Amino acid sequence: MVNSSNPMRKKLLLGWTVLSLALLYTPVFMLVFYGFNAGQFALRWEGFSLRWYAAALSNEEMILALLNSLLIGLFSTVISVALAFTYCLWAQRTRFKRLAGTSDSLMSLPLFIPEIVLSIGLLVMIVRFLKPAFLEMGFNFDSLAAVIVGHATLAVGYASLVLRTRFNSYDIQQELAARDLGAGSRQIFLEIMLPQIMPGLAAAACLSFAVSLDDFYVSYFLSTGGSALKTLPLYIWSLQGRKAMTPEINVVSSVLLIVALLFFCTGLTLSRSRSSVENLKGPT
Amino acid sequence: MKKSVVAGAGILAAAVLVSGIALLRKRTGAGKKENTLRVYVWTDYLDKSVISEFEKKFHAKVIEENFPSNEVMISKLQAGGGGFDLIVPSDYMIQTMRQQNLLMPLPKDKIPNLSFLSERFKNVSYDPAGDFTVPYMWGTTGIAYNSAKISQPPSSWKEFFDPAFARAADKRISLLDDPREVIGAALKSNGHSLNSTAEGELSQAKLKIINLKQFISRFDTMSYKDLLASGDLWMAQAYSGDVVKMQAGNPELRYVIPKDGATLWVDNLAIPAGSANPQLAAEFINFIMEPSINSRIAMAIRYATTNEKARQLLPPEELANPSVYPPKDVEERLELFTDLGSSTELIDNVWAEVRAEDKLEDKPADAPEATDPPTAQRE
Amino acid sequence: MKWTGLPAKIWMSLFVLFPFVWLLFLSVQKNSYINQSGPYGFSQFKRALNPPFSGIIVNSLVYSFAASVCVIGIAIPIVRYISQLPPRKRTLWILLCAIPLGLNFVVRIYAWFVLIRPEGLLTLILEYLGINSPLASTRAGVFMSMVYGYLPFAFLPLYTVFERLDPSQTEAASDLGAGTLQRWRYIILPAVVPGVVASFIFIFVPMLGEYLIPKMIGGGLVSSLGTQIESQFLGSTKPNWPFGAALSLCLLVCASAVLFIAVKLLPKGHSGQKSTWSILQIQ
Repeated sequence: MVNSSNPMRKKLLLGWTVLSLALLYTPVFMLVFYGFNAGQFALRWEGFSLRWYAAALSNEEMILALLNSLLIGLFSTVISVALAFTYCLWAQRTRFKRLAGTSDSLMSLPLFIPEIVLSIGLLVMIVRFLKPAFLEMGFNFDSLAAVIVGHATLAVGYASLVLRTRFNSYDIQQELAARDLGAGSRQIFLEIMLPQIMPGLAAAACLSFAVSLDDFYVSYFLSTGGSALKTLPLYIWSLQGRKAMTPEINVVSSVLLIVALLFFCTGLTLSRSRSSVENLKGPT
Repeated sequence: MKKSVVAGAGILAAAVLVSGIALLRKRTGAGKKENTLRVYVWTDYLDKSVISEFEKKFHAKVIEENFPSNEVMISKLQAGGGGFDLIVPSDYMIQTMRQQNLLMPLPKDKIPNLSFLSERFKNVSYDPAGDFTVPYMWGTTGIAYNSAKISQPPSSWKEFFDPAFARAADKRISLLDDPREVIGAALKSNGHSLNSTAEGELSQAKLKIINLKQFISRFDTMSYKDLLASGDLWMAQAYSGDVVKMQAGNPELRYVIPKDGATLWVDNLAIPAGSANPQLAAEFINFIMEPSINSRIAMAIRYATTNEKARQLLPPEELANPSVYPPKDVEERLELFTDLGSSTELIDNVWAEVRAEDKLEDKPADAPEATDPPTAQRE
Repeated sequence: MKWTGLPAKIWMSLFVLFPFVWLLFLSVQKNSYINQSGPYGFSQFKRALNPPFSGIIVNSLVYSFAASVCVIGIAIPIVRYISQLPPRKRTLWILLCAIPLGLNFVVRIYAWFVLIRPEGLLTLILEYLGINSPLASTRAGVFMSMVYGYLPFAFLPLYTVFERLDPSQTEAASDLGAGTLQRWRYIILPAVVPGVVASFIFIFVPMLGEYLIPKMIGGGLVSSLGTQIESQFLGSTKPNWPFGAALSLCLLVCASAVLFIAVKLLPKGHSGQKSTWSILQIQ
């Protein structure tokens, strides 16, 4: 690439970039690093040790929070991917393109509403409406169910965004040809659609899971400030308010960082289709 | 077929993950409801040894969670949260909780030890028949200070809010994280009632608090007592028992019931609606109303008991401690909060304004730092 | 296949649209603390739009706007630099910019909080530089934390537009004697506006309702619209759902207004597609 800009300007820009990114990463690196602290306190370095990792592993509350997070992530992912998939199937084929446009807006609504408002809407609706209705039918709609529903709602927007771009490049001619050759719906689905859509589905699933793991607001409100159910982020939230912070909070944070990052990166790689990567807002 | 193998592996992996999670959850005791008692209570308000004795006797597990104020507690209950079996609300909040159907009627026949209540607490205004609540402990809200650091302690709310006194403990003062208590204290400092809703009086109170804000370091209900004991805080708005208890670790701590009046509060045991285990909760209430147990708790948490029999079991020096059991003439200065109904909005407005940080910047930059007041003995 | 769109649409109506109707219904109730419907009126909105809450709303708007501008201001030089690199290096750098998006928000803010605590590294550095002002529990600290927390969200939408800039155009411009300012004014800015608007929306809207940062960094001494809303539902004041609903709707109206203005700001080619979806697919 030919560049007309002078080297001085370039150096300045490089310096700015490095400085900003360093500032972005330093706190996180330090947090992970202090998880290997031998000392009692989260903030004073006293040598390398794995004792806090051992402590975290035997901490029931933390394991429970981790399990809650995984469980909620799993269920909400299944729901959101199923919803997004069926939705995109319809949106791609419908003759009513304008209706599809409107419903696209509906699907992406959770991406544009401040999360706190979305959570409060869900809270009010669940407490005043869903919970009594389920109780009437003899089911207890507890905070676990509430948080799963909330996360699924949040993730559907991302999942359908990723899938929709994938469906845009879907070759419907193959499907028509197969139908002419006498293939049944099942066969078409399994042998033509699924292989083409699979990467999109996997990406949507990973991103939904990442959204669920990352979420704070929905879990916070639907589990009433974590008094009913703690996910991993809520557990970290509750730890930072305590008097004496041990390096255990760093350990828990590191675990969460790595698990979430894994899913996020897999999701990004799988949704290779560039536009979907670039349009990614990233969960707040 | 390669694809079916991949799909099969995927399904298998998901199944393993689900069952693994289910197994682990079971092992860590999540979702196990039978014979678990979830208690939602103020910090350090139950004696640990009493809890473990109860657990042993009834083969139960007690899970304790703490709240910083009545407001937070009722918020969580109203938001459908918790699944708690036992809560400890204060007097003025009970009327609202009953109106909102947040309380379950007490199974009184399961709590024979109710008979040990003092006459004074058998017929309380907020729950005359005692259908929903059992008075548990009572106490006062006053001023705590560290006598090693503060040579001229405030003796009234008027002095507590006076910058001349506050400056001696600059940035080492805390107020409770509780709208009614903070605004109530400011109202008292102007000679008004705790329950005033007159707009002029409230705005005077508001100015007092905002004026004090430059000297305080936190609004805190949960951990201020530890910070007092450790010497991080020198002066605080405090609950009586918290200070008396901390005197064991830091004998320099003092508690004053302000001359211009203070809050008297009564905390009550109640079973929230939707409790999964009201039977066990009733057993627990009965257990801690047992005079010998109750007096043990009172000696551990250093609040005044509502239990006549337990009171008789207390050592005489405890009964003579004016910080715990204020003498008659002091008791006349005390006032209960009342439910303000829709006027609570006015309190909330003041609270929102007081908490908005911007006012903090009004502090004149040069004034306090330069002249180190003689009353402060810096470390 | 006609029906397959239904489950998702029903789900979203039930869990996104319907709650808003419910919030609307709650917010026009006159009774504050007691859960019973009626009588109806706009007293909750009246309270929300008068002091002290009007001040808090305006404050939140101003600070969120300023922080968003800061974030975009910091991000533009970075993105401009990356977009001028050779393609292989570009991928590496943009990946570095994208990874923080995958780091948990709570953890990231907590990590930052550790640095700006009174004994934190950043505070010590600032003290060394002669800046002696506490960051935790102040509005300045909350503002910095907002910028830190939301910076990663600006990179990708901005990068998309900067990457598409045609270098031959700027070269031609400078060959014809245009200075840096002129190049930006006439060539670069018009081309990147959609990306700037998109990233602004991604940042400003969630910032406006931010609760986590003011609460964790502000330590209860900094109020924002988010903390006030939380306090009406779960927080330190007596729960007042009608008023909380009114505040939430005010937040929503502010956010929508900004969204609307932002879409209007887009160049002509885009103004036809007003659906929110199209903003996401701005290239």
